[in-house]
Amino acid sequence: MANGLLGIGTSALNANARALSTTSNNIANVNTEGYSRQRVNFAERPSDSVGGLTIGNGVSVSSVTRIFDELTTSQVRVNNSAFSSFETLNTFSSQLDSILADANAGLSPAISGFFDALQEVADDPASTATRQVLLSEADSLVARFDAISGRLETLNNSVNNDISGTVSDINVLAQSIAQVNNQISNTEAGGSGGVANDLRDQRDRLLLQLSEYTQVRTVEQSDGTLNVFIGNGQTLVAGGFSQSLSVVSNEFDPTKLEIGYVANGTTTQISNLVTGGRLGGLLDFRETVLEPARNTLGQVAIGIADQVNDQHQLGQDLNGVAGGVFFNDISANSPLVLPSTSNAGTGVVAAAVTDVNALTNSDYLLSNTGGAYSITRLSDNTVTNLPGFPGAAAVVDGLTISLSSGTISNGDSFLVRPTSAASRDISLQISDVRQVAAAAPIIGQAASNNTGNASISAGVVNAPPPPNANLTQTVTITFNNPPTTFDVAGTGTGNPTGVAYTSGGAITYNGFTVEIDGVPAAGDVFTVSANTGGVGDNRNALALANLQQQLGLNNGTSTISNVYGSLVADVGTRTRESELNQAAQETLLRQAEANRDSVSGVNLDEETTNLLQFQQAFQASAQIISIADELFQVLLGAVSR
Amino acid sequence: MTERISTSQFVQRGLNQILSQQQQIADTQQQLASGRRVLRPSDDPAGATRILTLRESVTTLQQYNENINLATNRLQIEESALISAGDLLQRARELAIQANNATQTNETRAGAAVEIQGILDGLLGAANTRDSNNEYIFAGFRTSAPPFVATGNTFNYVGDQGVRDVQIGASRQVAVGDSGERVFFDIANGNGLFATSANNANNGSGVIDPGSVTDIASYVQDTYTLTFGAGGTYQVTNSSATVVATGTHSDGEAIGFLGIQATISGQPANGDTFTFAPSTGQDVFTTVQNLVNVLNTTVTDPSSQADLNNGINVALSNIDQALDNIVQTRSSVGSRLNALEDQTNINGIFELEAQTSLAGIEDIDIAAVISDFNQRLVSLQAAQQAFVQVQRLSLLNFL
Repeated sequence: MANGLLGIGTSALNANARALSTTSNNIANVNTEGYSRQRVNFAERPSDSVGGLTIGNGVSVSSVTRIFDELTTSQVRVNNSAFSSFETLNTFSSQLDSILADANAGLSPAISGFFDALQEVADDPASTATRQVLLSEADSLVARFDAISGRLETLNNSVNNDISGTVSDINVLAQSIAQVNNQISNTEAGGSGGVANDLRDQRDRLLLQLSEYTQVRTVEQSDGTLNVFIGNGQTLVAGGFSQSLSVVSNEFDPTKLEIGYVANGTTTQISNLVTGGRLGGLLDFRETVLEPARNTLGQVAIGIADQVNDQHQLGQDLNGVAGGVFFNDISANSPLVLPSTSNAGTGVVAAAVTDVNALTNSDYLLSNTGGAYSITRLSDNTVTNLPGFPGAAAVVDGLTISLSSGTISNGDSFLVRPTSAASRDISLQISDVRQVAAAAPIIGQAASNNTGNASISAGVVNAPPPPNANLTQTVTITFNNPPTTFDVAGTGTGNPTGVAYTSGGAITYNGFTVEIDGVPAAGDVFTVSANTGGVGDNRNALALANLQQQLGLNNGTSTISNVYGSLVADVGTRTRESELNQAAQETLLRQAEANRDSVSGVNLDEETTNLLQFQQAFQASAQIISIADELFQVLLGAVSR
Repeated sequence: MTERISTSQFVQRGLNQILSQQQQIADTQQQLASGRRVLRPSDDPAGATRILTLRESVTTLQQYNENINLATNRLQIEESALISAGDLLQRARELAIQANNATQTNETRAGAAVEIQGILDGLLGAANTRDSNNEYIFAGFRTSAPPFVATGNTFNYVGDQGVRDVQIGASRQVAVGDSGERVFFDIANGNGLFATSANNANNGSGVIDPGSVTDIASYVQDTYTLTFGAGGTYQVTNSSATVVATGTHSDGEAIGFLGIQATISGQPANGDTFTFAPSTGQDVFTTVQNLVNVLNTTVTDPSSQADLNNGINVALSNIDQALDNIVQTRSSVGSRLNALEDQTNINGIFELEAQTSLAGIEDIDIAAVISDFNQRLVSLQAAQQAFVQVQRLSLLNFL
């Protein structure tokens, strides 16, 4: 009996001491990240049956369990991935956001400055001072394009670096998780039914870290190990083994890093499958913010260069020479055609912007499927079949695509990037102020002895450049009797006679257009001839300045500034969205953490209560031993007497 | 089961509240410091685009106003050149009228001729006026060289007919000059439709006036010759020698045919001829030079007196045409100056509107933001106090 009593007392002392140390451990780990509180589970010891009576035998600790809920824990991981993804997107987007609309770094003030300087030249075309201002403004416009494209380049490099860094972090984590898996299965396979609480906590911490990098799914196996999947089911960790991710170059663009998945010695590109986490955020930023921004900026650059160049070449400079290109010809030279690394053929494809108005900010994919060529606009996946290609050049969205050399094999593909390099490539081609073509090369004039009251306009040169070879040939318009028709004479006109006259109607020969207004008299003569010595002529400068208001982009819906404005709005909206999403995900993440912590977290008041409870039980158990001792002494006393 | 809350969560939650309040205060503070509501496009993406558009409008409007200043300056220079040219011609006209008076002698007329020669130089100076950028304002597009060149008694215009336009509003251009050819050179002589002249070989004392139109519909453009016969009879023939009118002349009575008429005063002799030719362009300098030449004619008899008077009459009508042309140009310059002023006001209104919209989108409502700021300060204090209070609560404090 006393044996029973001592046994019970000892078991109670042991059990409560365990409970006390577990509680103490909980208290000690109150601030340990990812620690799940533990609880001691008591169990009655098997009782003795004595003479039909059941006598209890004390208590034992059946297990120390980790208070844990798989659902709330995985919820934290899911939300952590989403939060981290938006956080990354927002961090990168807001860098772009603040550059684009900045009064000093943004493009908008530079565009305004350039066109204002053109107005100044129009005000005073003979002055070299205003021309100098124009060249400086054009220079700073180019510098601004360069600076912004440089920033975009830097951002692209950061994205590449972060992708590399994140991928190696993921690989390290995958290995660690696999190791911990091994340890857990070893520990738990002892058959004692013991659970490796601390190792599981450690594994959860690793998984949480992993979820910050990319979205993961987990499936627990019967041996306590956990399989980890990423993307749309690629195994990252299976039991004690881990697969690794790698960084590979984009098949078209080596400056663009993609994520590769290595399995059985082959690497598959899985960038488009990876979602969530920092990796998802980085890829999202590149696809939805960075590249569209670079393309739209390029569209602005090509727009301004193409329109200004076209108009400038219709003019005449201060030396009386026909205007050259103002900016370099980026519409012809900056579109990129990148062959896939897996192309079997030797084909080299070239692309040039031939209609800037029809140009979009999208990239295109040219592919050959069994000899049938098609081009896909990647912004909306519109497919256009190219029946005559490559025999004849294909024209899509203002872009002329042609085969320059070699042959294209079945299955070959090319990425066409019309605008992505334009903002980097743009440069100023004029260095001498006298080369600014502010004047028009022709002038319409009335003969001084005309007796009618008709007047002729100074005239405009018709687009597109280059101007007609006979543009500056003297053309004479002589009114017949009655003056309802006129005869035209001059090289290149074909010398038509009896042309019907309409007051104010356009008269077009040799690439110019003039208007004659009013009532001419028979025999009145008008001439259109070279604008010799016309240094005070500002017609072309005025036309250049008015390009600012011209709806000449996006199929006649946008001015140059409008396109840039849409870029600012797009990036702004994206940034705002990511900011709001980040905030929303943060709330969800905090909630999920609260849910997890409400199950697994340590509460000091609760542990203090437990401490008191187990302390009292321990004290009472000690009392049992003391009573057993007393009983024994009583028994000994009785016997010794 | 009541919801558990872990101790670290308890602390974290309090901390998060304080941090989020601090973040909001920092944002509000930045708005207050900059006075701007939209600091980055993401603060208001639609607004940011509007801001870019409005800023561009403002700078463009300011540029238009600069263009207007320049245009005003140029047109004012043109106006003063026209005024001085007009004054000079007016003086020449007065001298011509005086010289036409029978009381004048060869000597006084020669004196007038000297003065008019000076006027001619002044007129050339006015026509070759330069603006503040040293451009010849009446040279058309050829603004780098003097447009009017005198070689002996002949005058040439080496400018062109170009007229420079300047953008003064989004869809409004104004010409900031007039071609010198139109202003000084290509002026219809005579009365604008036809020019009368007397044959210098006439023996009579007939003096013809510039004539006028009575019925434009009956007029047929041609050169007509009025030939006097004996006893004041005359006949008018056209260029194909067809007689279109005949009659007998009496002194001071108008002779009319085909919708036009002219008055011949004095007594034309038998065989004297007068011509009615369609007006052609003549420059003002030749007109004045001709006047000088006429005034230098020595008058000895009634026939040479008539030649003088006819010559002066021709000069007077041509000067009147030139003056008329200058007055017309001046009024056109004046109306352009008005248009510029008008457009300055319009641009000003547009700019004000743009600035107001810009302020509406971009600027903060100070009162609202300050009250918001104060509210956030109070919230932060509350969060901090609550945190401290709650942290004091621990079971351990009561053991």
